[in-house]
Amino acid sequence: MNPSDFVIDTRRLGKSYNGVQALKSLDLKVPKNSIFGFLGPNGAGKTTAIKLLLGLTRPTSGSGSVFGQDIVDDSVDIRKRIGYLAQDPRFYEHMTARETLRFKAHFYYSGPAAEIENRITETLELVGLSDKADRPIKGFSGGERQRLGIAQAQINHPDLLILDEPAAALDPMGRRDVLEVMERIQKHATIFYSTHILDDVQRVSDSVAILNHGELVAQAPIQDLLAGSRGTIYSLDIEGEAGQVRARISDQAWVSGIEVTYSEGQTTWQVTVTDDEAAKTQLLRLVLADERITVTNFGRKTYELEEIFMNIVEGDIHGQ
Amino acid sequence: MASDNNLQSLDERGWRQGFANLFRKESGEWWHTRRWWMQSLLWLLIVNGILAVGVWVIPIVDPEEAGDVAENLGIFVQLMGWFPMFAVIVVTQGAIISEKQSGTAAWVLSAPVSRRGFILSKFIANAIGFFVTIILVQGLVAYVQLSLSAGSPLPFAPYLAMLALFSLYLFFYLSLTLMLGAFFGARGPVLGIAIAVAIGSMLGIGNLFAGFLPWIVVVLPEAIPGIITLLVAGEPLPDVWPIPILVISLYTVLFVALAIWRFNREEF
Repeated sequence: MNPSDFVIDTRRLGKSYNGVQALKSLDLKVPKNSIFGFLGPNGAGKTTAIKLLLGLTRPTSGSGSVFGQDIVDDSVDIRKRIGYLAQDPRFYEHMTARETLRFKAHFYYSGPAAEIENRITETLELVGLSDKADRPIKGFSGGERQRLGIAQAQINHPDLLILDEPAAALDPMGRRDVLEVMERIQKHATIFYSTHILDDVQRVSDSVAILNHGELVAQAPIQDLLAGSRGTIYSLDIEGEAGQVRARISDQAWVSGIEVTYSEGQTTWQVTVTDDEAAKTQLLRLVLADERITVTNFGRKTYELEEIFMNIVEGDIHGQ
Repeated sequence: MASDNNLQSLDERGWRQGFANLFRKESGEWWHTRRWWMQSLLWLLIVNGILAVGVWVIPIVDPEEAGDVAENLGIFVQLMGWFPMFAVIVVTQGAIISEKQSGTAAWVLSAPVSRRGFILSKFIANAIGFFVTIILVQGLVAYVQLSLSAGSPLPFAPYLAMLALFSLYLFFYLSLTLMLGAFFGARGPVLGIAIAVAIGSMLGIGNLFAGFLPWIVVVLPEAIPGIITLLVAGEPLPDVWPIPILVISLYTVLFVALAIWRFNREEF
């Protein structure tokens, strides 16, 4: 990919507070028009990274660009094209939702008042706040604030939407609505969002980065990540005496390992292969060549994001 | 999306990025809330109310104690020199700190807003608010009261000069309070330092040091009410009279510049 294909591009970006490294040497590349999930446990440095991208805080090392513009020198220009939802969105409590959107809209554009009002009305409808549009925010619930946060973040029809835990305060229906809004917005914009809700990431994201202890520990398209990092693995549930077959399979040049587990009279093999094509065409045949064996389940192993996340994060902790 | 092809992206540069919108919002907090009439009414009662007692009530209840126009004008000058600065401090002590603490500053600055514009919008909108409610309204009402009691209009030029100097005096406290708000993270130090300066000025603290630092009295804010007193009394001004005006003006500009400098380094 060309550098211009990335909306966000950081190079060894770091931030320390009073000698404590909150973010270490972050090399992040966010492709255009992707929904990019930014994952990590609490305190991993996700919010720090987001604030650096927005110019709300300054890097202590490295550099970064958004839309090819420097995050320190061109911060205000960058923000013209960004919409941002903070983890705990705060607004002027005395304003209504409509006034809040009007206030925010006037940072970006001018024009006939009726058209600005149309955009505000449309945005309120998009997040389901039309019926509360003229109530002061101080009476809003957490979920309503979050919806307003999403509304104000995209009032300028941004090219990049940065969302810090967008669904954290929402009920399941609210979460679903947010994901739908994100999918809709993706047609026009890149979405970079941090979250703890891994199901949501798996559902809507194209690419994922995992941050742990201020360090980037994984970054990949989600399909690559879900395919696993230990090579391609085929899983077989086997009944019967399988010692000889196992030896035969292990001898194949394209097999790099077999992990065997036993449960309730059934044996499960996890066969790690180096040649997916050979495995697809030969593995099951080789096993079934032994007539004493029955295969009750065969397939390429896929991972859940949670499993990947836990492996990476816990592996990182144990590896320290 | 919206059928809003007539909307145009703003092309603001430098400190003007976001300034107009922020200025509208800050001004709205004066003129679209009850603040403007509360401030006007409060100072009408305190400044013009007390003046009215001197001008209209005392001549009736105790004619021997009634003062002339000059004495009544002196009362007005004293009241304006003593109290409104506390209003400036109290009203604006949280202008920056509350935004830092509540997170609204971070929210606003996530939009294309210059930090200089953020501070300047607060200074200018509040300066206008205080100027109108304290200087203009009180000055006008007092002028009418004093002119009516005198039977003829007071000389306009010195009166106007007096109001201009009071404005400068309030702007000094406004810039001081905003600067302290930019530097500190809690209201305590802002309120404490600003009020200490105001009380020191009220008590003429510079006179304590005047014996061995004679120049100090012309570089402290208390010099402004001193000049005003001489001005309205029609007494000759000391040769150095422009220096305090220049110095207090410079302090005001310096404090705003320092507020901007500090706010530019603020991390959210």
